[in-house]
Amino acid sequence: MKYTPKTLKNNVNVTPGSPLRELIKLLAWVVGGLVALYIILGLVVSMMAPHISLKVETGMGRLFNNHICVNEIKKESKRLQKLVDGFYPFLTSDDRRLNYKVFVTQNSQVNAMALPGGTIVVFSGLLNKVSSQSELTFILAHELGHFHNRDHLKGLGRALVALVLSVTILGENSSATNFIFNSIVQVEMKFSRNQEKAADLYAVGLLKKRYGNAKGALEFMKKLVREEKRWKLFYYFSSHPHPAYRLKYIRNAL
Amino acid sequence: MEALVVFFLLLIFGYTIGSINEKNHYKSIEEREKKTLPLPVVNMKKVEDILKPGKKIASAELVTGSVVVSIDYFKRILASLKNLVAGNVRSYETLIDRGRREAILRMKEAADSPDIIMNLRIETSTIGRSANRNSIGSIEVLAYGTAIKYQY
Repeated sequence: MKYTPKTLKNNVNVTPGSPLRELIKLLAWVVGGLVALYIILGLVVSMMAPHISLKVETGMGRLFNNHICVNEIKKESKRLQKLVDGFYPFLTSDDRRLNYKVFVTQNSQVNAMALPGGTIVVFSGLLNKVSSQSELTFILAHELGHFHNRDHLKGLGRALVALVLSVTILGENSSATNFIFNSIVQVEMKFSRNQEKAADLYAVGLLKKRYGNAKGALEFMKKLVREEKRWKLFYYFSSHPHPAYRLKYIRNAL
Repeated sequence: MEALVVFFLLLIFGYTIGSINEKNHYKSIEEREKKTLPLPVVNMKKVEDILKPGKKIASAELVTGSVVVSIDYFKRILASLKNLVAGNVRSYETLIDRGRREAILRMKEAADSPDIIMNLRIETSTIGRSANRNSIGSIEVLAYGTAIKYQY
């Protein structure tokens, strides 16, 4: 047999097609799948949250308190505690089961948190912004609203799901995971904005029950609107709705 | 946020430089394959299989060619995403193909003008797999065979 050399016409070992298109397709699948998984797991956690027993919740609370509750400003804590205690007669019997404890901590952030076990953490940065007692009652009522909707447990659950997901995939490649994780955070923020709205509306209802008006809510929101200089689109990435929008639905609720 | 920017920059960098390098490599491979085409390479083991009746062997010696090829950042990310959903890892196919062809070419070029190379074997090994979690994703391909010269 005579040897006749020839070159290969087609390379069967390399699949034709654009790698860029493949990347886009894969990213869509992976991000879509993870977001779906995250939403489903989040829903499961939200469904579970109302059934977490008081004992478990207080146990979880103690765990948190050790880490977050540092640098207490005792005088301020006492003052706010009195305001919260004043809400007790107006709470539903279910909400009254928790023992609400206010904790003012030295921190420049303008924020307040509802922790498992009934602890309301208020950062001193927020207190510096507040000028009247009625505004303060609105903030506290807003946090009580989170307890009423059990957001403090739901949020915790979803954060846990996000954490587990990210850590599982972090083993593969941290940069790619970051991208995926950021997409998930977007979805979480939307959830979060809905929760904030529900807490706002609950607070308005509670203030009306206690004082007959919701002056504090309006005052505080107007102040936020006045001081708001950030671009409106920024709120797409934020955990809270835009102050102007909050003011609008609070007005509607009155 | 910065991590994301760096990630995308690396991705774009890896894609552009990687594609250019790959294109050039393929061009060189095809040119050299044409040049070395007259030298047959077979994987037959026995001398009887390649020897024409009446011919004798003048010399037989081992020839080797090896190459280490790395994948670019873009293709590695593509492969790691593929890891999640399973399927044909297309982005690694060119790496393997280039490695194999380059190794055979180097082996042919290393041989001292023989008549035929028989008993061709190809082996691969992964390099940098265990070094760290973000493995560098490169392979070594080793091609070796026996270069035969006929007696005329």
